[in-house]
Amino acid sequence: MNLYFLEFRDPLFGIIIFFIIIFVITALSYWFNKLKKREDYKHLDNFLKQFHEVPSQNELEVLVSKGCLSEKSWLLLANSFTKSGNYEKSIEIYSQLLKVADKTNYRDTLFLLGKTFYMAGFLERAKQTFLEILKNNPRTPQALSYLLLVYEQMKNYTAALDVLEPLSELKKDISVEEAYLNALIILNDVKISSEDKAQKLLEIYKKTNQMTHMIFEYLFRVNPKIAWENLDISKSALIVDILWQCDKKDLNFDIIMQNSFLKELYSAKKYIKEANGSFVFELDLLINLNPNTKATLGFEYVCDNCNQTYPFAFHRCSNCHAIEKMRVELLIVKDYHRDFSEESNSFL
Amino acid sequence: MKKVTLFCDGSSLGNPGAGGYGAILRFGTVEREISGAREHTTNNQMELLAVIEGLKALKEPCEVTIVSDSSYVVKGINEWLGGWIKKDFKNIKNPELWREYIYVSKAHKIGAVWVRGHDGHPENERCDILAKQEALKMKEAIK
Repeated sequence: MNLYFLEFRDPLFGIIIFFIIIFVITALSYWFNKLKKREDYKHLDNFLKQFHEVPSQNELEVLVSKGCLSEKSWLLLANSFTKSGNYEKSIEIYSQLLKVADKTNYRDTLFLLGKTFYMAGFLERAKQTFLEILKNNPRTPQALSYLLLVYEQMKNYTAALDVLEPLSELKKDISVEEAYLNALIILNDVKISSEDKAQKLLEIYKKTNQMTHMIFEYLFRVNPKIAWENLDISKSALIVDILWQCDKKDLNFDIIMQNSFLKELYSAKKYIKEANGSFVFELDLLINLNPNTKATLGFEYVCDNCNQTYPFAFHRCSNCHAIEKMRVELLIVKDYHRDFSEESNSFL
Repeated sequence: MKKVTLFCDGSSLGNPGAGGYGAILRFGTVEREISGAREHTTNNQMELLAVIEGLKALKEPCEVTIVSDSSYVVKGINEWLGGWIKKDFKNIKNPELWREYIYVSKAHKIGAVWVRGHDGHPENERCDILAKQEALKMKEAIK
């Protein structure tokens, strides 16, 4: 039994005590460090919270009334929140400013609030805000323009058309907007047959000579025959993406043979052999390319107003809100649909 | 390749019944909304159609992240589709729509992400509104 208990005079006892002391010190310093780290993080969190949280209404009231932070500074802060996509915070700041700040910038702040509501997708609140501005200042073109956008997003096209009236009184050119909204009303009316829709859209096209891409996108989908009959071939380049995707059976070769661009386009598509080359680089390349090469046309869309590029067609630029400013750019891309085989292409 | 996010949702009133789909294509800061309706359809068909119509609108090969609240669509794309193709869609619902999906997605690099529906996801809520609006319009029209 004595074998199991070492005497305190035994040198081994001293070594064991030494290691126990080291272990205790290590454990204590480990826990101390962990505790200190936690405290540091807590302190850091509290410090960062100051920047995350917008002051409460009372704090803001005091800050604004005492001039601790000017209204302009708050507006700049709200604007930076909007730019970083943190709409919630900028809405909070604008709302507080409207409650406590002086009334000199009231309309501007209200407009910024409405604009942020619109950008954040709170359409009903945006509508109410712009209507509030217009109640006291009916001749505010910016508020009217945004109210129109809100109604358009809400698919309330008739109300959007009503907004055009005061805009025209303010000497704004509303012809494109009018054609666009009228076309949208027709396209979204499920009670009109596709034939009637086509006729009504053609009426708009003939009357305004606008909305070419929007109207012919629909026409080529539902009735290519009518589309070809009514197409102004000088505008072919505007709808080159639609024409490229048109089925061979839907083509009107009488019209195609009259226009060099169309001949080149469908020669590049290998539907006909009526062109040996083209001034358009992409078409020239496809015309002269080996028919077995897997290449085709892709399209990119550019807003002529703000130069924003899109991989999809648009009717109203969502960046600058301009209508009928889309330009179609040609690209050479790999033809994935030739020798098509079914296989999953998920990258997840 | 341009990186595009495709938010989508579908809705069917009655399931099956009049249905609608809504999709938002987002490229950087710009976006486009797409919506449409069918007379008689199911929720899953509309969810899948939203993806198909969204992809159809892309006119150049892109890297597309599909964001949907439908686990049928998300798992179908990420996990099940390979197996379905191998067995030629035998005993699988909506084979035509899945085949159309394969065709339109061919040019793109696709990944799908699931989000919980009606959970305050702004784009999902917007797609839901678009889909329901279209479904209601269709229901009114066929009355």
